[in-house]
Amino acid sequence: MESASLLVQTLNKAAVQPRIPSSVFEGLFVRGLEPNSPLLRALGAEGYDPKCPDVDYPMQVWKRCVALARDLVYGELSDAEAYRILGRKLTEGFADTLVGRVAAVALPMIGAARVVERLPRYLAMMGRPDLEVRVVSAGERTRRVTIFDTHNRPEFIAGALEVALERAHVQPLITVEERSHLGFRLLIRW
Amino acid sequence: MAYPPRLGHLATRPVVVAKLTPTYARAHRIDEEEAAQRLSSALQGRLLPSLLEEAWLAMRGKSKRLDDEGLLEKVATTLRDRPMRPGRVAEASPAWSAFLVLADLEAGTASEAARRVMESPEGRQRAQEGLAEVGRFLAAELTRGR
Repeated sequence: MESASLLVQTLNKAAVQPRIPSSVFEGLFVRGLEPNSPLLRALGAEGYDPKCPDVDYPMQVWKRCVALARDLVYGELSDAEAYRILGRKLTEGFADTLVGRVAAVALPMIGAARVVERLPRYLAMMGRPDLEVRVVSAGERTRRVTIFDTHNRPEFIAGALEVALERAHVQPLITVEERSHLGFRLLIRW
Repeated sequence: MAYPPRLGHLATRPVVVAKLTPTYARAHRIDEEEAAQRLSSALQGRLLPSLLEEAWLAMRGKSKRLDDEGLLEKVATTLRDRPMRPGRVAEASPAWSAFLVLADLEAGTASEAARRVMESPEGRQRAQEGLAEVGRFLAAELTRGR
């Protein structure tokens, strides 16, 4: 009985594994990074062909492709530096995709606080409606944001959020305050 | 239908596809043949009448000199020699992007995440702006002849 319940839980977990839309891949790997040949070959081997993209991809393909970009493009940097830059490239590139342009057009008009409030919506646009996000105000220009994401590095999300806030005309400072097996907490100041 | 039936007979789906294909192909970085196939599929349903409605609105707003018959004659004249002449490549803008995402949703080539974007209040607003902008583009393409 117990094992049946475990099996159901495991199957449910597998069933809700997020899928990452090709516009997110296009944002990072085509428009953000403008990949060199070795990276293109490596991405192709993982199943992502920018010239013939699928509608979306399993999370595991996304993770392997991001890890490849980290090694092949920013191999000389530390993990924290490399993933933060990759996060920045993701938002810069995604904002240049068709879907991203629709979403990014409001950023300069809504202000930094609303950009942070809308983080769950932005993550959903990028294929992660499953993520639980908790935002706690710690002052007029400070927020603590807990994101229950076990797939992406905190620095990657921090870098992505930095660019979104810069488009809202502020200079953000985002640090990783805490990380655990369930996710991480970011301290965002601007 | 908020446009004359004759406009639909002149600006048929293949004609509209021909006008939009260069912009669609460039935005998606695909060849024009594939772009035309996808657009043709996208315009099979409600998107084509919506677009023609916006195009007609734009034509009437722009040309005070011509009555409805005169406008339709201008469209007929423009399309007489080369109805399938490709349209110009439009500059990328949020409104155009929204229209192209709508087209992808209609064609079944967009992700669920894209659908969520377009179903949000902002997405719906951008979609309306996109239809209006592409309607203006189509109006210009259909009346740029002699």
